[in-house]
Amino acid sequence: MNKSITALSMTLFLVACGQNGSNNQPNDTGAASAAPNLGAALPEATDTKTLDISKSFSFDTARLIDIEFDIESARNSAADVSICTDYSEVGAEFDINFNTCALNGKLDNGAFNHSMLLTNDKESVVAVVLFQDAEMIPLYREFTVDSNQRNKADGSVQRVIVWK
Amino acid sequence: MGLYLEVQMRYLLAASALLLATSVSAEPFENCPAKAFLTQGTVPSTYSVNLVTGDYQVLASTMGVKSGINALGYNSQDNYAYGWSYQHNLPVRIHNEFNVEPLKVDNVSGVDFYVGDVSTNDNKYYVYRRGATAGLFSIDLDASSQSFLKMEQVVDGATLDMDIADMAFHPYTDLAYSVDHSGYLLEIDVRTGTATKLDHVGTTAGFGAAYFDADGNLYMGRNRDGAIYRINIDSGIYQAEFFAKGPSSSTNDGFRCAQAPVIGISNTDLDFGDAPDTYGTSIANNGARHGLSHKNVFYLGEHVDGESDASIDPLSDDNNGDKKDDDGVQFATNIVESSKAIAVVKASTTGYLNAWIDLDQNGQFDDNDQVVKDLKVKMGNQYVYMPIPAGVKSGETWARFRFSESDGIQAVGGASNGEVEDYKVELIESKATVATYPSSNSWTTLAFEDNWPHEGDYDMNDLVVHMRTSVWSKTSGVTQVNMKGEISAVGASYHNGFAVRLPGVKRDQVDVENIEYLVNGQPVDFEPLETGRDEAIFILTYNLWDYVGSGELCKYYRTEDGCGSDIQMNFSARIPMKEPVQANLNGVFDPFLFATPGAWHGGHFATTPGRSYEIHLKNYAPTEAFDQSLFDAPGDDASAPDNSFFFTTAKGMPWALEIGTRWDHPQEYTDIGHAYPYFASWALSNGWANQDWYLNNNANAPLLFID
Repeated sequence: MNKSITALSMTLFLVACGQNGSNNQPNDTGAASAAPNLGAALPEATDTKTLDISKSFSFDTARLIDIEFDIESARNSAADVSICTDYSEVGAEFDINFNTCALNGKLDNGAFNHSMLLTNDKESVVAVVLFQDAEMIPLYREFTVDSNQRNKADGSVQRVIVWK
Repeated sequence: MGLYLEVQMRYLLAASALLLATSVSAEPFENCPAKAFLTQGTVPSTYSVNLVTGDYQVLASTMGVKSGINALGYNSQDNYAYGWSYQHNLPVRIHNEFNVEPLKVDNVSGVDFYVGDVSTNDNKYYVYRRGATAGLFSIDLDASSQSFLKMEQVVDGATLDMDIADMAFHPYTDLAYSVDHSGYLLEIDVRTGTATKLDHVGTTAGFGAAYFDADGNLYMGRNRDGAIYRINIDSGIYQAEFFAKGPSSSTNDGFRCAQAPVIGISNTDLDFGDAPDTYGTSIANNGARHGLSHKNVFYLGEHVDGESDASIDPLSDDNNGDKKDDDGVQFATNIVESSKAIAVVKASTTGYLNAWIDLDQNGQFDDNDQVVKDLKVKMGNQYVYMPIPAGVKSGETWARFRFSESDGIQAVGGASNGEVEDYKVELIESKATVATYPSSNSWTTLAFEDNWPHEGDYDMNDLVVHMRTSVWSKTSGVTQVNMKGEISAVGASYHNGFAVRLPGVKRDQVDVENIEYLVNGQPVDFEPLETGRDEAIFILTYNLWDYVGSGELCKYYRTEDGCGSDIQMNFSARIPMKEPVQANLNGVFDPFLFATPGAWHGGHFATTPGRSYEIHLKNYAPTEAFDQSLFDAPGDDASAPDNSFFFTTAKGMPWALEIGTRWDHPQEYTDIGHAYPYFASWALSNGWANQDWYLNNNANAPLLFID
């Protein structure tokens, strides 16, 4: 079975947090950076053997997102595009950790169409367009990942981020 | 002098007669070296360790053996080291180039040893293993003795019962010392076969490497984190003080000439790169280096720290000291021919930046590899544009960035201040998009139970793999797939392999000739793209235990409390296609565990199942190598291939999970539902609730295995 089909068949519910970047960012080693829980209230432990789970639930911890960019202001200039998950807004620009990018490619006359898999703990991403002409100011746009969804013919939901 | 020469000649003649046949030359070490030597790994390599600083370098990436060397000791009477070879089940002599020669000794014990040292006074090699069937044994190294190379039991290992991972002889007495697993200092009289518990040293955990110095200081290297502690035995005060940070491993032993004083072999007021030495990296090759001694304010990123010499890849100067210091450069775009690569560079202050990328991948930074020349950069972040010429072929290569107060810096040589940062980078084919999962600096985790078709204990640590992937594609299809990973845990007695199927890709679509697959930086000796298959199935290893070891006092690899270790197996695969392939490749593709061919896999199999046995993520179909009749075998599996349900119990539980972070797995025998209490509500809600169940702040931390 193709994993992407399985992923698409599962409807996930994620709340857009409105914050810059995700709440739990990787550190330099890629480890989950959230502090260990040393005593805060946790639910009662459950023996895994007692669980009764839907056979169709595939335990995925990531979802597929379509990228549809057609950026008018970049149509006549050679440019690269990157989509990254760890960033902060600094004035009119973004301070981006480029080691967290899930996609890097080139715009084709301002257009870029692709897909990417994003883990469920990431709620938003930033896209940056860097022009080959160093004199041109980079373009940035932030996206809340689950705010734009399409219903597919098979009843599943497909996430999409659009920059037009 | 004459008598000395005569004795030496007699020794050499006798020794050469008693060494097993080998073509390896056998030169001794220099007289009583001050360095400590550390041997690590299931397939052992040797480091030199500066005990003053914890600074270390790889001296030999191989010792010519396929499995571990342990129970090491240095004999100052002949200037050879001695150890125990698991491959030969015999003691071995180690010469100055770190090759081993098995000694023709009748191993009367019949077991292998990981505790041992050479007595500096009576010229004997002592080995120890606890248990009634083992014990303390001596092997005479005096070629003039009637008992030369005779192995004799001093006492059995039940009478002398010590929970220790190494011991070291005092330089001037007949006594050996060790710290046991509970943290007690033991004084061992090898002549009487007795041990005295002296005092608790104030710290616990397995000390796998022990050394003495000429002042009676005992140094103990802790396996799980490489911390080196010092105890002054002669003072009678037996508290261990933290001394330095060295390399860590679960399989870990060292040797040192105990009569040598511990001295600072060199200072650490220099910053080096870590690219392979063909680029000019170490001091021996006039490596790129920057002085740090005069309150250096010129650095990249947030921090720079020093070392006495380069830590060549796969080591990294990034790992020296408390903070990572290769933190000043990030590539914001792909590096593509006939284009400008753009990087973000963070400078501590105004200064000059120079940069090179090995564009022709010849292992050197040539003049035409310089992509930034004396660029004056300002304090803070800035985009730096690097022109990449036409004709650059794709592949992995290295980049070097140097920042200093001075201009005109070359790719090699010294600079009075500043920093050098080396990066492994990818040259990407023109117009390709690169999708990286999860990202270039993060990992996803694969966690397996290996008792299929029977339910296991759900500690999900029988195999734990951290992985990241990248897929290169054009509009015409996928052109290349890359995988990197590390084996984080093996909590299984069964011998298993690990592989990844590329869904939708046929074997004959892969450019087999140009596949690159490295384990621990070395090519493997098998064809990784499985032969005889229609599907593209990439074998990462046929047997995980070939690369990882449980270490002393432990049953498994990185699953038990107190059994920490560095990662012992990492892998890197580059899989190009002959032509672009229209395939829906993303995430971790289709990873699976399989039974090692020829290895027992439980009493429920009449014969060894080998490649016919696979465990995939839930609802991933097995490969063509799988024996479909196993779906009908007795057990808890409730796969229904006609409905596309695979590797699931009747209650919907899987035998494998993918978790989108570098996950801290549960300790041995700990149910994932206890270690991660939100796992149950997430699963029961079909993924709607508690989607971040796998993060540390949602875990019961004491139940996790944490490095």
